Amino acid sequence: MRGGGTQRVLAAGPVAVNRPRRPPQHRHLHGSDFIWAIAFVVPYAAVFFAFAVYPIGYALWMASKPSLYADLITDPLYLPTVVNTLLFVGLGHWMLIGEQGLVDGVLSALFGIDGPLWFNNRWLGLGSNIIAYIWKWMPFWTLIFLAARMRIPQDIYDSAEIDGATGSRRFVHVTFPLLANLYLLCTLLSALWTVGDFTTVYLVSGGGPAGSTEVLATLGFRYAFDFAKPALGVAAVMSALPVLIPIVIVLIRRLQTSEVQM
Amino acid sequence: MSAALSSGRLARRRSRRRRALIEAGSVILGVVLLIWSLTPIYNMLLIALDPEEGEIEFTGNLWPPEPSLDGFRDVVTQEARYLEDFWHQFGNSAYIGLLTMFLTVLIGSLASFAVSRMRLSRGSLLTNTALLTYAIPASFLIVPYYRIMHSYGLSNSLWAVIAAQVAFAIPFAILILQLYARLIPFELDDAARVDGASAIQVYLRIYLPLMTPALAVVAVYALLLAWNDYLYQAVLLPPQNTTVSVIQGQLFADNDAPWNAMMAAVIIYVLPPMVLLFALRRHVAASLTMGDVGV
Repeated sequence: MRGGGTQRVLAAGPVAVNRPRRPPQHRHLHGSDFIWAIAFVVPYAAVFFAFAVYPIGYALWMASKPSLYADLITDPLYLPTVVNTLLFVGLGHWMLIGEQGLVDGVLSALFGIDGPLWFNNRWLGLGSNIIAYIWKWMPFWTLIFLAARMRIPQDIYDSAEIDGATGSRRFVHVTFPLLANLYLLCTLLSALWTVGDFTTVYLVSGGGPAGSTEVLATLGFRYAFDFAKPALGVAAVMSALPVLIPIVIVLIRRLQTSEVQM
Repeated sequence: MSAALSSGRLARRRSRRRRALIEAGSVILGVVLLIWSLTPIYNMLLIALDPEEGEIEFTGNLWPPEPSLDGFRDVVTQEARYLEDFWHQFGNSAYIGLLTMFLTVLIGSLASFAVSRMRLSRGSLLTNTALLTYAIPASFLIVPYYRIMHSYGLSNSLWAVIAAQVAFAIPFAILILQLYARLIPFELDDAARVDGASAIQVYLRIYLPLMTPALAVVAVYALLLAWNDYLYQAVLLPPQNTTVSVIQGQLFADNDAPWNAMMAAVIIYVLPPMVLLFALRRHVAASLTMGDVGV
C-alpha cells in the first residue's frame, strides 16, 4: 500500500504499541549456535526436498515432452475443461443430492414441480459444483474479512461521517480502500486454491455427464488413473502453470510488503 | 425560526429511518446467509435421524416424524454396509491428522525459530522458496507422489499420506509463525542468552510459550488439511486400510447406500475438529486479527 500515513498506522493496528525494534543487522552466529540453527532447519529442509521439491521436479520431468501438449490440444475433452476451470475460478469459487435431494423436495413441496436431473446437464452440473464450492469456503473468507473489518477503528468512520460519507459511501471511500490489499491477497489465494480444487468437482458432479464438467485437476486424475496415461495427466495440470506462477509471484511480493508494514 | 427547527427534526427523523432500514437489511442478509450455511448440515442431521436406511427424500417434514438413533447405533456397532471397519478407519484418520498436526508444528516452529529468531543468514531464502511451491496445487502432484512413494518404500502406508500433508502444511505454517514472531521483542531472547540459556532453552522456555496463539492456528490448519483431505488418502492408501473420508466418498457411486448410518458417521467424524476449534477459539480469533495477511 502506498496510501501514506493513515493506512500505515491502520495496517499496524493495535499491535503497533508493543512492536519490537527491528533486529540489529545480521551478525554472524558463533560456533555452537550456528550448529544449533542448522540442526533446527535440517528437518524442514529434508521434508521440503524429499516431499515438495522432488515431486515437483518429477512432475515437470514427466510433463516435459512437447508431443504431450499436442495430444492435449487435440483431445476434445481438454478445451471444455479449461473453460470449466476458468468458470469455476471466475464464478467464485448445498448440496443438490441427485434428484431426491432437499432442494428438489422443497421445489416439489412448494410448487409441485419436479426438480431437474441435476447432473444430466453440463451447466446444471457446473453450477452445482460452483455452489458447493462457495458453500464450503464462504464462512472462512467471511471470518477473515470480518476480522479485518473489526480492526478499523470506529473514529475513522465517525470522522468520515462528519465529512458526509454515510451509507454505501462509507464502504466505497473508507472500508474498501483500507482493506484493498487484503481483498487482493485473498482473491489471489482463493484463485490458487480453486484451480487446485479436486474434491468438490470429483465428488459433486464427478466430471459428468460425459466429462463435460471436468476441471484440470480431475481431468489429470482421470487421464492418469482411468486411462493409464500418467504423463498426459501431469501435462494437463501443468498446462495451468503459466497462469499460476505469476499469481504466486504477486502474492509473495504483496506478503512481503505487508510484512514490512506490520 | 420554527420552520428551520421542524425541517431539522425532519432530516433527523429521515436519517433515523434510513438507519433502521439498513439495520433491518443487514439482519435479513445475515439470516439468509445463516440458512444457506446451515441447510446442508441440517439436511445431514435429518437423514441421520431417519429410521429408514435408504430414505433421503424430503417429504415436507421439517423434523423427522419418528426420529431415531438407529443410524448412530449402526455406526457405533459397525453393523451398516461400508461401516464394518468404521472405528479402525476413524483411528487411521485420527492417526494421520494428529501426526500431521504434531510434525507440522514441530518442524515448522524449529525452522521458523532458526530463521527469524536466531537470524540464520539466508534463512529467509529457504522459507520464500517454500511459498513458491504453492504455485502448484497439491492435487496436481498426485501422480508423481504415487510413483515417488513407491520408490521411498512408503506405498500403502499411512506415513505416505502424513508426509504429503506435512509438506503441504509447512510453508503456510512458517509464514504465519514468522509474521507472529515479529511481535515478540528480541530483547527477551538476548536477556535469556546473557543469563546463560542455550539456543534450545530459548526455544523451549521463551519462543514456544509466547508463540502459543500462532502455534494454535498452525495446529488447527494442519489438522483440518489432513482431516478434510480425500485425494491423497484415496490414492495412496490400500482399500483394506483406509480412512473415513475415503469411505464417505464411495457413497457417490452407490444408489442405495445406508444413508442414515453414513450421515451419522459424518456427524461423528466432524465432531473432533469442531471440539478442537472450540477449545482453541480464543487463540484462533486473536491471531486472525493479527496481521495484514489476516490468515
